[in-house]
Amino acid sequence: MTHPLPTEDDLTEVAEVASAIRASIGSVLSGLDGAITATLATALAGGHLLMEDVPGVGKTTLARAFAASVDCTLGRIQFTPDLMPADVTGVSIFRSDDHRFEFRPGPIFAQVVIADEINRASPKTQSALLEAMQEHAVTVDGVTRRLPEPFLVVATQNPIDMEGTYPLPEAQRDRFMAQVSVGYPQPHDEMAMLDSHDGTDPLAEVRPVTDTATLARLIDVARRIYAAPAVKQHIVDLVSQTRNDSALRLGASPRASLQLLAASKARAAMAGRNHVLPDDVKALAGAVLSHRLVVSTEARLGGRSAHDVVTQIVERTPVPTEARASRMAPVGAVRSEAR
Amino acid sequence: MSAGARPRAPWPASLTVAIATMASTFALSSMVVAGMWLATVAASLATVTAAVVVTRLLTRSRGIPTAIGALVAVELLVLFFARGQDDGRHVLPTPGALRDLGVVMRDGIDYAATTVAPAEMVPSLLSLICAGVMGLFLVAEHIAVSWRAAASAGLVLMLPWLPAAIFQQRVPLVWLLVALAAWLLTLGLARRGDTRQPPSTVSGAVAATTATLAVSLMVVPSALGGNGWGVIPRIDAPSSLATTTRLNLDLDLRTSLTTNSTAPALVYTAEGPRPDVLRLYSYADFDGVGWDYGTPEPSDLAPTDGVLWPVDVPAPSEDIATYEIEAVDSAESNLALPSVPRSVDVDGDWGYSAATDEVVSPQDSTLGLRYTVTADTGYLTPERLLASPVDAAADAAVGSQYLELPGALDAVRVTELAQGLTADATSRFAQAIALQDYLRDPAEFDYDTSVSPSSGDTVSTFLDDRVGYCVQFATTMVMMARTLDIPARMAIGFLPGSEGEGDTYIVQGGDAHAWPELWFPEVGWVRFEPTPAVQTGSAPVYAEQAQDPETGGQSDPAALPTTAPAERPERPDTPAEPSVAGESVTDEGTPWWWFAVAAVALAAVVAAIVLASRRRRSLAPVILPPAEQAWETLRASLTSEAQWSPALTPSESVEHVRDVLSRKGVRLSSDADQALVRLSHAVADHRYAPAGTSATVAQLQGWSDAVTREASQATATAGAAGR
Repeated sequence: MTHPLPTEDDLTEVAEVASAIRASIGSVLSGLDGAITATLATALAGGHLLMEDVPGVGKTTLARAFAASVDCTLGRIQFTPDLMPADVTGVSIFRSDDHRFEFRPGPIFAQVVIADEINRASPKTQSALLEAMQEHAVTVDGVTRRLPEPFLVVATQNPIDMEGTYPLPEAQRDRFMAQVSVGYPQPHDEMAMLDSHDGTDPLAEVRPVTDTATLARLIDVARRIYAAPAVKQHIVDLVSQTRNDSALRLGASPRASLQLLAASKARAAMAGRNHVLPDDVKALAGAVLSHRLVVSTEARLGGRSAHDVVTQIVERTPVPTEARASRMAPVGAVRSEAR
Repeated sequence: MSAGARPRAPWPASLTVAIATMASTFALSSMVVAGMWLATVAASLATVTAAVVVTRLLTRSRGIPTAIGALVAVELLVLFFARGQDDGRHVLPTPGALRDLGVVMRDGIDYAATTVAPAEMVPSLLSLICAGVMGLFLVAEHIAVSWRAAASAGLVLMLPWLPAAIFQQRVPLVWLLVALAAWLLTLGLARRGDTRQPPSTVSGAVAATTATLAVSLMVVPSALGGNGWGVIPRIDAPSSLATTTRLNLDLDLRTSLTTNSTAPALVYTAEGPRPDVLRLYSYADFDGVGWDYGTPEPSDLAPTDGVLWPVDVPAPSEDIATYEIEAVDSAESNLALPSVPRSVDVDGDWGYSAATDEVVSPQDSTLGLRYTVTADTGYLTPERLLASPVDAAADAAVGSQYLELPGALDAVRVTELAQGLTADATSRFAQAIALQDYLRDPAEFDYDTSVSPSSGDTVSTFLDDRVGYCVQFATTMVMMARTLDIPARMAIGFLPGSEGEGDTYIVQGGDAHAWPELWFPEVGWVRFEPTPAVQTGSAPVYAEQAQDPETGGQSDPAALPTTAPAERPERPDTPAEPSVAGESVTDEGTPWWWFAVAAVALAAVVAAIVLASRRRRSLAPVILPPAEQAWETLRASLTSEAQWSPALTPSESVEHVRDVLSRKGVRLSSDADQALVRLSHAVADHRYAPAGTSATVAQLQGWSDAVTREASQATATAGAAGR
């Protein structure tokens, strides 16, 4: 292995920063531990996040709270049907005083970009964003400009209001590392929210708890987390089952395997562990795999969502053990004949 | 890590293997005349079994019981069969005795090689069978008991059934069920009782698959009376499960034949010559790919009195035959009748359609019907056919549909071919013979029940591919005849079947056949047989006799003498008298001993493969690392409810155990709970951490024991309190 394992100090730092961000977001939104964990894991794994939920449950607030907790530049794009690619990437304008073109960067030139209601924009504009996500660069007028690092896109999508929307095709959904559903809050969380929003905007009071340089370092630490062969086997088992499940018309891609491993490493790092556990994989499989799958018509009519199918696969797939791997290794020196 | 003492072998399984072996011996009953020799086999098998079981009770070794059994088997063979020069018996397996035993067994092999089944038992053959049965038992027992791979032993135990299966002979259903039951019992008895190792999913899967295969392949199709695959032994099905046979009226030249039912459809007795065919339906309309059957209108039906034949018949010939026909399992709307002038004595509402030459009932079915037919089997002769006055008006009168050619047919090609074949023919009869001989020529066409699908013009496909079954041959002959302006049609029914018990004949579903009928004015519709002799035997007598003077004797090797017109030469189950004469073997197809040798060879290969794989596995024992060992020990000690599934991670397993215990109102003490968590961490570290676990074996053992002690105590008291 070329990368050294993260040291104790590295891991402590990741755990501390992660819990600080978690607390900071928690002061704005209560009761969203699963969504926050997935968000943090995606951020630490260097991926992008898709949030799909009904309006008003805090998708954008979660994204903004995360951005506010990290001392970073924030871009925000409200996607509308008439939004043009140049509105995302930026445009060159002609300066008549010195007779030359000057590039005005679009909102995508930020470390955290919130793309609100991404399914409202035309496919052309969506593609501009998704290309930038993939390449971490933008090309305007033949000049390629790097985007700032770390670069995290949080796109939100509204599944209910389908009139005049352009749902992301499967190939583009695959670009997002994870999809998070915020969901309605529990009654006591909602009570707490009503209290905290009473007269003040808690978002305005969020102060950065870390900076982007630290975040970049943490991403590097997460990358160096150890994943045992048994864990990788577990990921492959899960992903290959999505390709064979009769309830699924489209299974998960190899990119999904890579991203599930990356996200699992990030979750392990957040827990201060230097190695991935199957628990990490199981906790994130739903968020990382579901949005890439296409449920067959029969299963959909039976009321099963992709998330349900992934949950079932996770529940039934045996966790590989070291023992199972070693059984395949031949020739033990000792015969059990001795007695 | 101690490997632990090996548990005692499940010796009761030896007894069930012996029962299965003995039951399998009865599979040979179709090849060897049953008799007292079965007692000899049973006695020697019982002795060997006793030796093996006693040894198993005395030692836990795997190999010694089988070795003892083999010694006893050899001693028994020497005692029973080895004879010295002066016919003196040997007592001990001395080298001389073994040499004499070898002589006897070689005699047995020679005897088997020169005998047709069923063979009469002689001592030399018995020595072979005894050796085979005891050997089979020792191999199967060793696999099932020493290796606890009863599923694989089933494969060995199936071997005696193979010859019967290959020949499609009747096997005794009772003994097959006994063998299967004994084997299933063996599966249960030979299961691993060792909880330290997880049950082998591979052997479980093999067992389940083999059992399912055995049941589905052997019992189900046989019980349904069908015989889809040629290798399935035929078993008399209970009558309540028997299915009826119906001819498939949908004649499509594009489909291959897949079923070959051996269920009896008709049974008949014959006084006089047997019928050439038993005819049911005729067809006029061909559309290029298939024939359409048109049911005769009820208004066209005449009473079934007197002689039934499309034309007026002069005084009957001398060859009158009477058939008592019973449609035991054939549900048709038409009566099966010989294709010559005949009269019928039948109960029920039956009418005769002269145009199609069918005896039809609008509502009755033939199922279970008995009727008597008197047939004039000497009616059709070459002389009569040659004397038929052919003219266009008479042909037109019989119906223009019998001269129609489908649009899809390549009429030019067929016409040219037919005209070329019949260039020398001077009569309609000679034309028909020429067409028939062309299609029957093994150098021209092959009989095969699978055909390549084509669309449109299936006759051209047949002429190109040169393979087909009766429908292709018959259709082609009908079409060629029609291009020569001979009215022709298609008829289907049954070949005359095979001899049954007593003086009865049995017609099976697989005897169904199709043939062309050509119109001869003032004679009637005359059957010809274009389908090769391999399937149909010889052509009808009148068509066969005529060609002899012209061709100077057919060189068709498969054709049988004309005295047995309907004998089907390929049927292997034609009864043959047991004989030692060498010359009778060569004509009767492959001698049965060949299959016996193949079965033994197969057994050796299977045994060798199993042996090799077991040996490799036994050299590489599954030794669990300490953490896994402790974890597995803990799991095994818990109640089945508390045992975690393999889909749970170690930390989830901890939650699961706590959950189950708390549902029973039990809470682990903090020490035990901590031990559980520590053990789970150790396992997780061992499995997934880069450095593995740092816990010592003693620690692991201690944690496991602490949880086990408390969990079992707690559940016991909770259970007692609940009661």
